[in-house]
Amino acid sequence: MIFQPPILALLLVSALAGIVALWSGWFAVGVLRNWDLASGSRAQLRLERLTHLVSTLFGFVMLAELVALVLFVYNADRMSSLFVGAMCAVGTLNVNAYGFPALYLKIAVFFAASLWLLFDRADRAGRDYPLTRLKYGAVIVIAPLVIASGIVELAYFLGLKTDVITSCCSKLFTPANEGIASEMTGLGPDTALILLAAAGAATAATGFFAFLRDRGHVVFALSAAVLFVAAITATISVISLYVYDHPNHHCPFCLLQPEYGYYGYALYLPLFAGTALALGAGVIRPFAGLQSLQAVLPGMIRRLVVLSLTAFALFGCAVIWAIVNSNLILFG
Amino acid sequence: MIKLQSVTKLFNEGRPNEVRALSDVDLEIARNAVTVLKGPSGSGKTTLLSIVGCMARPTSGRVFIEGEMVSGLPEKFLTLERRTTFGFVFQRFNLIRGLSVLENVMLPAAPLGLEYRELRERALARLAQLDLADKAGIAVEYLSGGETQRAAIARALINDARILIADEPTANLDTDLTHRFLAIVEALRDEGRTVIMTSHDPRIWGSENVDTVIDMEDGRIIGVSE
Repeated sequence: MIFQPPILALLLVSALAGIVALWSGWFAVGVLRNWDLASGSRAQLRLERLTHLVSTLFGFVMLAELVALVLFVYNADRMSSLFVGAMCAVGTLNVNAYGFPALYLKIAVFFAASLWLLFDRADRAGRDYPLTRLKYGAVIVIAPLVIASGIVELAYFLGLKTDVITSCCSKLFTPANEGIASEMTGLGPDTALILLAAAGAATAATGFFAFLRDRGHVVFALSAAVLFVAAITATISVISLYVYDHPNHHCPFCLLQPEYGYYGYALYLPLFAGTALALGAGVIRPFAGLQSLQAVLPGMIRRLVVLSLTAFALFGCAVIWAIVNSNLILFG
Repeated sequence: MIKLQSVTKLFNEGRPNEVRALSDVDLEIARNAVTVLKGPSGSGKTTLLSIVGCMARPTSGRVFIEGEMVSGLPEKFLTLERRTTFGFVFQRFNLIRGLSVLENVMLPAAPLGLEYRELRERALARLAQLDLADKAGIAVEYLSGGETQRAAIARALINDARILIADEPTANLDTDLTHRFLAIVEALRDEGRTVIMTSHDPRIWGSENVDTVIDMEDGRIIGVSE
């Protein structure tokens, strides 16, 4: 293991998140089994009081997990200079078998944490704990994910050896290989851009519809999920080419490096935020009719839609900026 | 209507010095009436008042106000409830020394976000209602006992509270001031407010201005007289 401040910070966050998730999961089982708002029993009142504490602590570690994803990626990229053969985060993540699973789990935790935080916010807006049971049901699902993410991350960091010769991104993101990354790489630039534009247009249309008509939020959320996939595909297939001014360099991680002005962060942060907010709007919308949430939830959902559309617009601007400022001519 | 359902309150729960302040109390307090809780020290009057006023949570049981359960509300809603539904007059009045009468009266309404001018007018109207308009600019430490009490009542009503809660409001007052206080309480009831107070004072619970007297002992209700 390599003792570096970001690694120690990430392990600390994961350990803390794991402990809180375990405790929250255990508490959540109690909530699901014993929650009865009609009862004034001592056990029920104790549960009500404790939900505030558990939700606050769990919310805190969920927030930490959001930041941890950024730190994990930043750290992977930063450490690439330590490994022979690594040019960017791909090389670092390829040092052992746990690197990419750790990243995928971190991304899954990121979206789960975002949704849970929005769910928690909606629940706290109601006077009668309107979503508490559902919120704690979600804790039971998320807690194992958080713990698994922590364990895989620990295995990854423990397995980091500087004498390992790793492979660089050009080995992974090439049409010659098999797998999803290669499929994405091999997709034609025109097809990838058309898919991205279509998904973007669908998301914008469904978003505006949801904002103006106050319905169709689930469709908006699904469109955003499709846009996320299309955006990652387009980033690998074509956007990266424009950024690198190189027709064969498809790596989505090199974009995070200082020599490209940390462009990747401008691309990914709004994309991830926009997707999470759109999914949140879709997940929360079915509960807007609950009596204690009627006054607040529609406003909150409208704000989520606006923020999500704004984030996607920023992503779109970043894409257009890369294409306009590139010296690479792919079409024509 | 305020309704308490099997309310129990323990202090220092699970410790050797555990105190059972309230024991399985079931109670209904009528709207637009004056209700007095009486009983010896330690009978649970102040605890009951605190729970009704959302200043304390029961260990078990529920409190409903106009059919809505308030005892289990999340803290931010409980704060809102205290701010908008209740006015409190404390035994020692708890006015803030160094501030004027007007400033003391305006203070509880400050978090409501009213314009200063509106807040000031509202406070002055309350003070005028209680014959304290000419004392508005005086620091509270220079008020007499009766004036202090009226200033405390004005402060309790600044948020247009539907329910006035008073804990031993006449404990330090002479007979004349007690009667003046009862006259104010009657006027508040006539305005449509509910008044709930604790008292050791037979001048209070013996008064014809009081609608209901609830007798308490050892954390239980032992009698209710209309």
